[in-house]
Amino acid sequence: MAADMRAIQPESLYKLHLECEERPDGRKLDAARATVVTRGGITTADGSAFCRSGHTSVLCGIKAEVCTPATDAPPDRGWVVPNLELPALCHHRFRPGPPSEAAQTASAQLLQLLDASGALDRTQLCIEAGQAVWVLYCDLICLSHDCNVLDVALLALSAALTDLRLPSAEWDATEERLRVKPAERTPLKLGPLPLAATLAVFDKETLVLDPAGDEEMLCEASVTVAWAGDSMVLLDKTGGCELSLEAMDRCIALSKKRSLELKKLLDCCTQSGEVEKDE
Amino acid sequence: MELLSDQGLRVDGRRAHELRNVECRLGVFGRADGSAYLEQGNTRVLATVYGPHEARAAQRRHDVASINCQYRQAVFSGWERGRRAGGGGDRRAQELGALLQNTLESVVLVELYPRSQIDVYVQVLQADGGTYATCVNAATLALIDAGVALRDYVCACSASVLRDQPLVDLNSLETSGAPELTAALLPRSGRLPLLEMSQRFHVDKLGELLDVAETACRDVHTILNRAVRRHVSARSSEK
Repeated sequence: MAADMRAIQPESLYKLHLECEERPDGRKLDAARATVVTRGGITTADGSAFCRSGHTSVLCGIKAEVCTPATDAPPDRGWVVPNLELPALCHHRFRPGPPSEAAQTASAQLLQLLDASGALDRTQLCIEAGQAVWVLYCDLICLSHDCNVLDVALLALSAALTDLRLPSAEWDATEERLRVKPAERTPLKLGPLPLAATLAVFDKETLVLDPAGDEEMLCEASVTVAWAGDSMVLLDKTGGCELSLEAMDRCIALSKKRSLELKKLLDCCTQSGEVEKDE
Repeated sequence: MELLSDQGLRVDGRRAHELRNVECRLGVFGRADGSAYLEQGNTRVLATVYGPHEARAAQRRHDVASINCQYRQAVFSGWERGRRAGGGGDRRAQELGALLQNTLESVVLVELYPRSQIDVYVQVLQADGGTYATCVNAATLALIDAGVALRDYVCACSASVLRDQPLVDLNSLETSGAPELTAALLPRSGRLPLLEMSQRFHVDKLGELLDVAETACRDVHTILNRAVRRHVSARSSEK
């Protein structure tokens, strides 16, 4: 009967769930899905991480290449190029084809979050000012889509950056060429990494953390807050309904708590190949 | 570096007829109708199946299902960073997608699903030789997980001949040093729905190579069959 109601009147069914303060997957309103982070799974990449939260999974692989900085760009900074793909395999509503607007927007947001958090000082990526800098191509693939891809992608990107090991490179000034030693690798020095939490809003007052399933589609508004350490780096409210300041405060508090949980997950271990779980 | 030592050992310590270590898991993603993750050595592939579902008007056929395959290779999957996939991939990816579709059309009982469409998406996460064969195996497992009716397994393997010694299941180092034949087999009938090779090769060695490839495909079938049975009994004991 619930399945019939879900097909015909999903909003009414969901409101019944909310009245009992429980969601269709059994979680409380302020509970996030179980998250697993695995580092170092892809040996062909210089750094990688796989992150799964409920049924949403994102794989991030970072490949580092050397390039000459452009003449109009600062000569002592490298580049980071995140790119999120939402391929047809992650959800039946996606079709094969060029990157959708959602994917392009998310890629731009990831870059913005990385810059705003100051987690990576680009001068670290400089090998020789004006001659050679590292470019980090961070490619994220969403393997399974069940809402909240941006949060999971950001977590995968942050985890992959901690897994990244750059080969040692030296600029030989006499011969004007680069010497790279792929066997000697060093990690990056990273500042506080950005971590995001999304809440869905129902009836202007009820907040639901980490939407899944139909929740993203049924909600009236959605709020995404990203934190890097103690600073907020993103506050994004989308959707038609207005939100009171008190509700916004609650959003901020819930997202801060969630970002602390995610930070603990990331800090748990620094060895590659190990799995961290948060229930 | 010698691809085949005098003692008959390959670069990764295998004998000529040995397959790489295979790890597979079915039903890795709950959202898709069927999914499978397969590792053959360092080659890792993920396959997802959506369907059978209503076909788009252009693809709808009144008497049989249409199969739509897409092959994608992750940008970080090879040793060199790959070209970013534009509208679904470069020409090689499109060619492999079409090849996969032809291979699967030989096993899926398409007459049972008229006017519907079965989407098979294959994503290569890490490529270390024998990539296309691993994709075919992963697609078979994903179709089984989705419950699509199949005539038989499709088991694929790569093979080659190096200095008169036939090798099976090549890794990327061996692929660059010797011509690579990819063969797929339907174990029950012993028929080959797929044979692919794009390098120069002496025709006298073809018979021996096909025999060796067939044996390797049967070995792959044993492994996949065991994995499917394990998965099914685990699922039924959960209920």
